[in-house]
Amino acid sequence: MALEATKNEAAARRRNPRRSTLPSGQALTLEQATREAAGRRARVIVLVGPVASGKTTLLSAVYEGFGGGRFFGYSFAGSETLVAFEARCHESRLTSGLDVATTARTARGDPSALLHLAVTAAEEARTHVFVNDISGEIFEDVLRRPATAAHLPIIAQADRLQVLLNGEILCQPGARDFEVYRVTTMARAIIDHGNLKPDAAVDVIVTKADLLQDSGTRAFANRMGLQVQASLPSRYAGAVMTVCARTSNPTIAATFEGMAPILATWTGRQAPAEPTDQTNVRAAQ
Amino acid sequence: MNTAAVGDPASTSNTLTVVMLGLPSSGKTTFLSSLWHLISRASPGSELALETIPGDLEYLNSLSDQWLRCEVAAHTRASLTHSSTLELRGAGETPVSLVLADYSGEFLREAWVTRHLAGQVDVHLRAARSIVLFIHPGYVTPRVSLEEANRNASVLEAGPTNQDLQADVFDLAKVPTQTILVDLLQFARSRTRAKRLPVAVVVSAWDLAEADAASPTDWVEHQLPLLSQFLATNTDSLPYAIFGVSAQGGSWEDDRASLLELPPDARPRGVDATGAALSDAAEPIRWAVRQV
Repeated sequence: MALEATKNEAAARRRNPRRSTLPSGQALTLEQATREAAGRRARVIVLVGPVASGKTTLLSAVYEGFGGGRFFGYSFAGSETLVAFEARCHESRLTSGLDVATTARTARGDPSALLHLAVTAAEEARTHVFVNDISGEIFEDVLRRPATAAHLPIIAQADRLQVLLNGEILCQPGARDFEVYRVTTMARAIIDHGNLKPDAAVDVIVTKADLLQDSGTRAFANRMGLQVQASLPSRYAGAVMTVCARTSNPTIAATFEGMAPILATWTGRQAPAEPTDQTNVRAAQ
Repeated sequence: MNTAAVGDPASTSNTLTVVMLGLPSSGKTTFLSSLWHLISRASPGSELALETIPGDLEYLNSLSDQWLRCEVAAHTRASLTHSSTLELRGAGETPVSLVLADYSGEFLREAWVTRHLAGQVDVHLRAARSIVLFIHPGYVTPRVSLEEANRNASVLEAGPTNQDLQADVFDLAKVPTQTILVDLLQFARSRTRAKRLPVAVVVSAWDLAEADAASPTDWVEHQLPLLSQFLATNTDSLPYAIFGVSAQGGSWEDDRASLLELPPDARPRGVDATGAALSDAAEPIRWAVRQV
């Protein structure tokens, strides 16, 4: 775990007797996350991708998964950012007043903002997972000026850098090659200028699998993912995964398809092979 | 019993502060009414029997009046808290001074939305040795995804969807009940001075839920899965037990005449986590007291 702080800081915060304000429940700053992680098993996941590549949808889907019950062998054990999760899930809920689920674009804000989930699997100690929710616009800046990655302190804390490749664009012959170029360059810029830890891993995640119309398209998308990975320094090589965080076409891919290996990378542990709860299984069908 | 606006509860070795938490209409006040009836009628020397009759009974007398006549109790008013201290016989021969802190559900929901909790509530949370968490099956805001709603709508052959709608503004007051309850428990845990904070989860109006679930545990697991997981994974700091309690004994709207035929003691009923019948509806408090 990269976040380091003394146990005393967290203990002092809990002891403050005059406080009668609930924690905001919003995304944590890096400093807050560091305090939260003190003395605990924690992992920092940094999602990297252009605008609309599916970062927030992926993050929200994990929370939604736990909201329906045990999720691919993991159990929810708490979160300091429940308000932030609820806000990000709003436009996929009936209470939004929408007919079709969507995800609000993440505004530019603190580029180190982190959402927190504590999870457990079987009898293992819990893992505190901190996942960034950075506006894709910031990564677009990195694409234009790679040196700006040096000003993203969250990169140096990452245990896992996960590069998102938009499956929707991979289906567009006129746009896909440039998208692969953009994502590869963006990832390389972050690795080279962001002070990534030597023991961090870089994964490539092809998102929006529900838009990959057939097995041929899916195989092609996977090849593109491997191509991105092959273009990055091999010492960081992690997994290449395909995910459908929220489906618009369940006949092609179900919601939560491909989520299990992603959760394993987030927790650093392989969950026992057991199904999700019934509510989640239903949602995935 | 002393019934008053909240003050700083005395902190002696045999003073147990039990905080009653629940969102609006979660059944706290009705439970307190039936609990007071049971306590006031308990045989001297039995567990939870009164050691000394309280000096001020105004609030509890009013609750008893409504409960014994099977009339809906006035909800605890927003921004109002009641702290009631009962001198009771605890487990064994130990006398305990049980402080029951009861807040209006509106008060707690407002705290979730504004993220501010009145200092008086915080005083109780810091002194809390146990929590009783109330959930009414009829007042649960579920988590409904659009995907699920659309799937159900397609079964009903609803019309085409409109992709051009603007989303309503996110409203913290409308988030699923399970999220708010998890957050309140996390906050309570962070505030208490105790290392462990036992939580008695009371599914109130159990008569409304028992047809849908084999047990209160089963009901919580299916209706509030985030809370269920949270409880199951935090037993080191939040040991818990789940109960189903029907403090009214049934619907006072539909069954009032038949309930009034029964002796008051026979009206409330409850089940434990597995669905087995409880000896009486005070068992969640008895459990909470025994955990300390």
